[in-house]
Amino acid sequence: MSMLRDFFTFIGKVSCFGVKALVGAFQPPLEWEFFLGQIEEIGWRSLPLILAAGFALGVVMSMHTRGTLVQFGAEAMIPTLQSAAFFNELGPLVTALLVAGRVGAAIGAGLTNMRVTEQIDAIESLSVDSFKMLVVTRIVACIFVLPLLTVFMDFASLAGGFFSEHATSHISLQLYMTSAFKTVEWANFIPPTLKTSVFGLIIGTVSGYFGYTTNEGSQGVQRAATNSVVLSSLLIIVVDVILVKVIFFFFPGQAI
Amino acid sequence: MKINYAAIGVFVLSAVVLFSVGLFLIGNSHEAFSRHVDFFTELTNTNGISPGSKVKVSGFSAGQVSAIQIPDRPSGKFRLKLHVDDKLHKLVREDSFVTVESDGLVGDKFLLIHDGTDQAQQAPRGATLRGQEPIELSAVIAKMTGVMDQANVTIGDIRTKADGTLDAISATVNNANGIVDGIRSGKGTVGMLLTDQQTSNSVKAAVGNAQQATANLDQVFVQAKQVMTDFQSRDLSQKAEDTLNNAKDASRNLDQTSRQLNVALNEALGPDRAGDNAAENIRESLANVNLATANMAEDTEALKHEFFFRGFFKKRGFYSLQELTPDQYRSNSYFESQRSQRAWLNATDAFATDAKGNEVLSPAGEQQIDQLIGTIKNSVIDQPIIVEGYSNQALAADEMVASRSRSILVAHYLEEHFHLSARNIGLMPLNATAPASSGKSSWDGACVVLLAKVK
Amino acid sequence: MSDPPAIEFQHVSKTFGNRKVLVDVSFKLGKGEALCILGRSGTGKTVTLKLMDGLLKPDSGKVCIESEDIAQVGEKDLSRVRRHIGFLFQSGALFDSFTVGENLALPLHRLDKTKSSAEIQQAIEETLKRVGLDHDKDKMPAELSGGMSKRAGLARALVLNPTLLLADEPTSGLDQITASEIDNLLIKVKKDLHTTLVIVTHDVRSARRVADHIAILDQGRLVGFGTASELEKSDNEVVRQLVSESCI
Ligand SMILES: Nc1ncnc2c1ncn2[C@@H]1O[C@H](COP(=O)(O)OP(=O)(O)O)[C@@H](O)[C@H]1O
Ligand SMILES: [Mg+2]
Repeated sequence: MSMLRDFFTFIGKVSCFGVKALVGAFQPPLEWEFFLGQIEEIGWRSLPLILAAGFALGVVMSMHTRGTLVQFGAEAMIPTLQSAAFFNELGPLVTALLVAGRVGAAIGAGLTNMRVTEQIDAIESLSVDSFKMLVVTRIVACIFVLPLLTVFMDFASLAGGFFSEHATSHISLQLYMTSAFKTVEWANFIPPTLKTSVFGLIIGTVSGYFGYTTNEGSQGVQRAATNSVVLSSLLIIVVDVILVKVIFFFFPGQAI
Repeated sequence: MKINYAAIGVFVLSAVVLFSVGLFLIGNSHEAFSRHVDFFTELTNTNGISPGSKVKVSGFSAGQVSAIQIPDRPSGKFRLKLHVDDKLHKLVREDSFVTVESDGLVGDKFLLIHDGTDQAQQAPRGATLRGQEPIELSAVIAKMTGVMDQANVTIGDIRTKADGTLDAISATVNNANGIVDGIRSGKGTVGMLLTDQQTSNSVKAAVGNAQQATANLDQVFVQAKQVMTDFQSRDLSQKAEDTLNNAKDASRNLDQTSRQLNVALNEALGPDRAGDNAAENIRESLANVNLATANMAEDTEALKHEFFFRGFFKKRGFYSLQELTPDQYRSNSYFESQRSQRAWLNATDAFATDAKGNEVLSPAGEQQIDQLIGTIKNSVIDQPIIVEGYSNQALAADEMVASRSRSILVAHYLEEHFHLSARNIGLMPLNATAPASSGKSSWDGACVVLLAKVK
Repeated sequence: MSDPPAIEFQHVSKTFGNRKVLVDVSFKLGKGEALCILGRSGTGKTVTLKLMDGLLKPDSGKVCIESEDIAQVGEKDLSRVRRHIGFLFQSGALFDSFTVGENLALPLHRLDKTKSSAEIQQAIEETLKRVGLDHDKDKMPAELSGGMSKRAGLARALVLNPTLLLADEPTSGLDQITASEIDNLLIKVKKDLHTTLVIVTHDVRSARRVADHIAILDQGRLVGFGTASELEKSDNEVVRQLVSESCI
């Protein structure tokens, strides 16, 4: 009973935390410098990871689909499948999970560390809203950066796919691109890409919550990092189910 | 805090560039970035087309349905707005029409703008293109069944008419039979009744008409038969089926379909390879039938008053044997054409001289006659028989007397021995010359001719 | 005393969860005076400092800074009050993503807002010079030793020339020489700028050197308040122990 109560209390607290952050994003003064710092940290610094993972995943996916499609003589479908898979689902989801791992841990541990080393108190002592300066900027940066990273992931995977296909069947770049984009529609690209903003909100909110509210030594830092990654990854996958449904609702033609 | 603005710039800018590249590369991008032209079309049934459905011009992806205006009453039509790439505007002409198509068996529905003809003007912006309702197969079949029914009725009609013709022909023939019968069962030998020249003249005319009518009837019969074979040989039903298949294939234009069927029917009824025109045939035949039956009716009416003369005379072309000279008899086409049976009686065998010196039938001659009659048995009762008498005496008068007496001898024997009616037996003294059709040129004695019965 | 006290605690209590950290604490501190707070770990010394800066709010009682109850004032007034308070946190609490110079610039940007960037740079360099870090302006906090971090923290607390300086264990964990350097620095600040000092420390010797008053906290209660010699005569054993024990 108390566990259930704790659970709901927790959900309520995290939700309020997220809502407060979103509201805070629209209340001046804006912490521009800190926001840009987080763009650099979450976006730019994640880029190598995203590009490498996307490329590798593109190669792997391409090899797998080739193995299957060759049996049906449908190799021509490989680029189409690759783009459909990545634009619709794999790109957004994998990006979000990778960022949840890298950035979620960093935010959780970083904020907890700042709390423990009284950096947050130091900020507060300057009459600066540490929540806005540290949490809102991170959450908004996550929301902003994830779609961008997703685009990188999508294209890196296409590059990987092309690399793999070119190595096996010497397909030309133009043909690969044409067939990759032939059946994809904006509704397969824009909504799935933008939905990663929701994943960004999840990552920022969950890890921000753990980081900002934990106030206990190195143990706390560790736990905040772990909790951030685990919970935000889980939530991303669960929420993705809902988001896919929502996208189908608004773009009924895109249900594949 | 050192912010690496360059890094942020590179990151954000390249993401935006990639995103834009994606937008441009993606299939429907050209639609958003190119100039567009709107057309309208109206359909009573949208058949699954919804806003956003693809629009193709001659199969080339050209845009999408941007709006659908719902009609305000059941008889109204849906008004669809088609957002089409300007590049394809040239293909859209005023006679272009729009159909609902589907991508493969299970694919999406899309609108297809059929490109117009080169002669037609380019459809102006905002033009309403003719919407062609999608053809439901069931409707095609229903319509085709209707057409087929009509065709059947037409064919049935023709058949009935042809049948009618045949009926009329049989009726006429029956009538003719009746006349012959009447004469047969009539009053005495025909020749005796033909004293009045006027009567004989009118009968002559009637028979002439009747002959003409019969000839016509024959022709009609042949033509009617031809029509029926025509129908069969031209394989109308197969043609109709082909047309139906064509219609299904085309699945476009019912008007066209029915037109096609009409054409098919016309063609079927039109001139065949030999240039005969079935419809003409039928018309002619029917006209002939009408004429024939009309004539027939008239003639029959006239002959009712002198019924004994009916058909018999029509058939043989003369009224009495007595009126015929031996020459006329010999060359008469009626006797020529008759497939008659003959029994030749030789003067030396069949005839003998009795004690008084008069010529009589010898037992051998009687036996020969018995044999001939034996071949036709009971039907001899109403068998028209002509007894030809022959003689080759030196004197022409002797010849005439001898041939005549011989024919009388034989006729007598027939009448007495077989109890035949005298009206069925005609005498024809022919001196020495036999008719060409008999197969002999001259004879001495007699010949019993069993005339073939008129059917 | 016609002047209002710099700091006045009136029956202040603070509880975290069910743990009573401060219980009915009352004292006054005049302007320009130095107060050292002594006490064992976890007795609420840091909490007391944070109450003075408005970082924590008392559950009951009042915390007045120059007669202003900072638990009650709005965000704007609190900001104005804080403009004159410097806070040296226990571990320095330098923002680890900022350089030392940027750490010092932050209070100038956030609380002063009147200075031009040249003035800011000048203030930063002067302050760093005062704490002996004039060559370490562009270093990151991670590159600093413990003593340097403390001094950088102190510089950040002093950069606005506060009238009240709160220092949480400024000398703990440092060698004797560095510790006395920092003490000298604090005394200098107090003398030159007439700054009121509140210092949390375990070092009784430095407390005796710097402080006008010493406050002893034990299990959330203020068990002694007075000069070192007054406290030596206290009948509370813990007080006597704390004041004298480390004298040796
Ligand atoms: N923000 C806080 N939330 C919960 N408990 C706190 C908080 N700050 C301090 N405490 C508790 O109050 C007690 C006093 O802490 P503190 O004043 O830091 O001790 P010290 O005297 O060693 O500085 C400690 O036991 C600490 O656990
Ligand atoms: Mg402490």
